[in-house]
Amino acid sequence: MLYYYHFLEVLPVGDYVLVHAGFAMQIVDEKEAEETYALLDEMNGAPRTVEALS
Amino acid sequence: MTAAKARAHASAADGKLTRKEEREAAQALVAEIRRLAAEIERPLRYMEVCGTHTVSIFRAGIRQLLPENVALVSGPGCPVCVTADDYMDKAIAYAHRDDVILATFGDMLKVPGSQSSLAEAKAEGADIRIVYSPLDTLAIARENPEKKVIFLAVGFETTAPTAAALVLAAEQAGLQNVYLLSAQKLVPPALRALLTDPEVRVDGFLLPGHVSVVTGLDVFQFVADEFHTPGVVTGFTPVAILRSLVRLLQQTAKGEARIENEYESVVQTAGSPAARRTLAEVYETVDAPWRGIGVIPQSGLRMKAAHAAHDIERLLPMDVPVGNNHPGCRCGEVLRGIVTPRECPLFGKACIPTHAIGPCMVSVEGVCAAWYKYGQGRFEFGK
Repeated sequence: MLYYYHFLEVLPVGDYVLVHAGFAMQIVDEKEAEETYALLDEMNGAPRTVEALS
Repeated sequence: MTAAKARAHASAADGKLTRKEEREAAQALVAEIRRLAAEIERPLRYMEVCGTHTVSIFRAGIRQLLPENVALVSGPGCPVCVTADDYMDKAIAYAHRDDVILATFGDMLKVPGSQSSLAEAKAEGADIRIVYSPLDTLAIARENPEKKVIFLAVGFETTAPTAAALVLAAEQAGLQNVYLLSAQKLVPPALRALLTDPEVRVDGFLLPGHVSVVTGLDVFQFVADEFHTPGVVTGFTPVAILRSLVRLLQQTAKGEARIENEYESVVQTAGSPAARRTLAEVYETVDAPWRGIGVIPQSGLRMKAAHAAHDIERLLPMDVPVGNNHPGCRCGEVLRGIVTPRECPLFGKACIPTHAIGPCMVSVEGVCAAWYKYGQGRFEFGK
């Protein structure tokens, strides 16, 4: 059943993906994903690190 | 990779800048918008056709930043808002059957049908389950083999492949009690309907980013070629939206019309062929009703005959009268950008988010809900 959990031509392990309604829709830019996670971590109380990424 | 990192999130799609960078970028873009607008002089109307854009524009206060002659208007970008009353009436009628479990995304619960809503049906004892992915329906169906489990398939190109995948997965798993009630719709036919509507005037489109993830850019080419109207596929941060507006104004200033991609970090020109294959395997296009707009040719998705066994409307047709919208509700004109919510006599009075009369106020991505939440209609935006 796992086959239907993504709409990607290939599923390269380690890449970031855009997820919608439980499905991986598209591989997304790594830098943007890292920045997003840094901001999410900050939202959850971690020190601000996002500047260091850019 | 940590668990947090593995948890992919939709917002990973939006390029994040530091606050200072974001402020500086936004200020520079607004200055450029002002310069271009002054050069063009005439009044300009750009339309967003995505509920997530609508909300982002309001949250960031983008309308208030724009010069006098540049208006942003909201189009039919919220799937819940364009769903016709009689679809909700059908869903409610199915939900009241003892042999049915209804599975739905949570945003459908409060949408009014002509008499009632799914939330009221649930309060009256109907078995209605909220799911976060169409595939959650599989487990419900497996645990309840004596029930018909109906997933309310409402959405545009982004969501429709996930419901199609539910049908394929149910077939693969041999779960015959999984059904769709489909009111899924396609965005390009709606753009064509708007562009041919004499009441609607649009100088360009902020094209929906996540629809484009699936469709790619080619399906929007007719907007430029046949209607000489520019379109820019747009991401969801305020800066991305401003950047797309600059690109629309640049085209308008030169009298050009192209389809451009401002959301390249996520949207590929070819879209997602795998998602489109899934769509094509399960659905065919049909004429479909859009609330407030009417029937748009070939804008709906219905299941092909090969998958008819999972189409609840074929198995168990439910006749409901074609719904009458509330007489005062101007949702239909709001959805075409003809009037702003403030021009509706119900807005902010009889119709508020906690007591919504029209679907534009019910959905969190509805135009009226955004107007109400961000200023309750006090601001002079979207002239």
